[in-house]
Amino acid sequence: MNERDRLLRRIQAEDFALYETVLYLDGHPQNKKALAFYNKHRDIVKALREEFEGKYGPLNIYGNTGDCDWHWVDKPWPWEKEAN
Amino acid sequence: MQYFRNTPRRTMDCQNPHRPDMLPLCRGDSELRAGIAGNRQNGSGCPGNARYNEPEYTDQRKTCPLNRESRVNDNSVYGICGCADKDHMHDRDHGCTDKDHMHDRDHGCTDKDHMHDRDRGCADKDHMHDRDCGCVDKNRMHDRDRGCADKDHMHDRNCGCADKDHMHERDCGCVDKNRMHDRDRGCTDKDHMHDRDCGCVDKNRMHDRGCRGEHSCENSPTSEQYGCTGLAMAFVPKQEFTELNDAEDALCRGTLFRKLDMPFYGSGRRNCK
Repeated sequence: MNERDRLLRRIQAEDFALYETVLYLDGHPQNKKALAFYNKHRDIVKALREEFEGKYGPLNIYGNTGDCDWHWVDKPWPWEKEAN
Repeated sequence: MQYFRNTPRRTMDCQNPHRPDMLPLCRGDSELRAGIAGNRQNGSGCPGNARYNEPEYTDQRKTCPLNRESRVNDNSVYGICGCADKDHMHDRDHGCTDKDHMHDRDHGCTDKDHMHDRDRGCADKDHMHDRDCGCVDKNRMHDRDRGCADKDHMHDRNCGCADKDHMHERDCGCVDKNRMHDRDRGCTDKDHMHDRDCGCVDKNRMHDRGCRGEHSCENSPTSEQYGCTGLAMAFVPKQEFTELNDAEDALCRGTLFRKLDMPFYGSGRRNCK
C-alpha cells in the first residue's frame, strides 16, 4: 500500500466514523460526547481531504483547486483498474 | 369428474352391453362371482337381471362392487383397486370402504392386495410407504402426501391430521399449534380442517385460509388491537456514546460502537488487520 492508498484509506475510515456519529446524533442530538467526537473528526476528515487533494487531485467535484485546469478528469475513474 | 357429470348414466343389461369389449359391472356378490365366471367362459357378462353403468367400466381404473374375493380373483379384469360403494366407484383414484370419504382423491382402501396401488391409502404396513398412501407408519407418515396421526410429523407438507374422519384427505391439516399457520397446514376446526391450505392463527394470513376454528383470529378478544400476537414488553437500553472503536477498526468491524460489534460467525471472521 503506497502513501496515496494509505491516505485514502484513512480518509475512508474517518469518514465512516463520522457517519456513524451522525447517525447516533440523529437519535441523541444533545449528546455532548457525540457532538465533540463529530466536531473533532469532521476537522480531521477535512484536513485529510485537503492533504490528499493537494497531493493527488480532487476526491470529488468540489475538490478542484486549479485555476487553469480541470483536474477532476485527470485521475482514474472508479471503474478503471488504476483506481482500484 | 366432469366426464361423469356430463355423461348420461345408462343402465344396460349385462347380457347386452353397449361395449362388448368391456366387461359389464354387475351387482350382487354371489351374482357377480357367477358373472365373472360367466365372463370368462363366454365373454357375455352377468346373469339375468344384473346391470351395469357404462361410464364406470369405460375407465380401467374404476372397479365394481364386487366383494373382495371377487376383486382379488379378477384383478386383471377390473383393473386397480376398487371400492365397495356403488355410488362412488366411478370416482378417480377411488378405492375405499369409508362411505363418507371414499370419493375423495387419493383415498385408500383396506384391501391388502390393492392397497399398494398408486393413490391408494392403506393400513398395511408393507405398503403404507407407497406414493400417496395414507399411513400410520411413523417412519413414513411425514412423507409428502401422507396422512399421519403423529404429532411430530403432522406439520409436514400435505400431512394429514389427527381427525380420523379427515386424516386421509390430501392437504389435510394438523393440530400442531406451532405449525397450523404454515401454508398447507390445517386447523383444528373440524369443519374446515380438510380444506386445502386451511387454518392459521396469523391474522395477516387468515384470509388466505379457510379456517374459522377455535384458533382463528376471529375468536381472539384482542384481535382488534393486537392481532393474534400475544402481548409483550420490550426493553431496549439506551445506547451510550462510549466504548468506541478507533476509525480504522470501525471501518473494519462495520461499526463505531463495540457493543454493536456482533459479527456473524457462520462463514468465518474477517481479518481486519
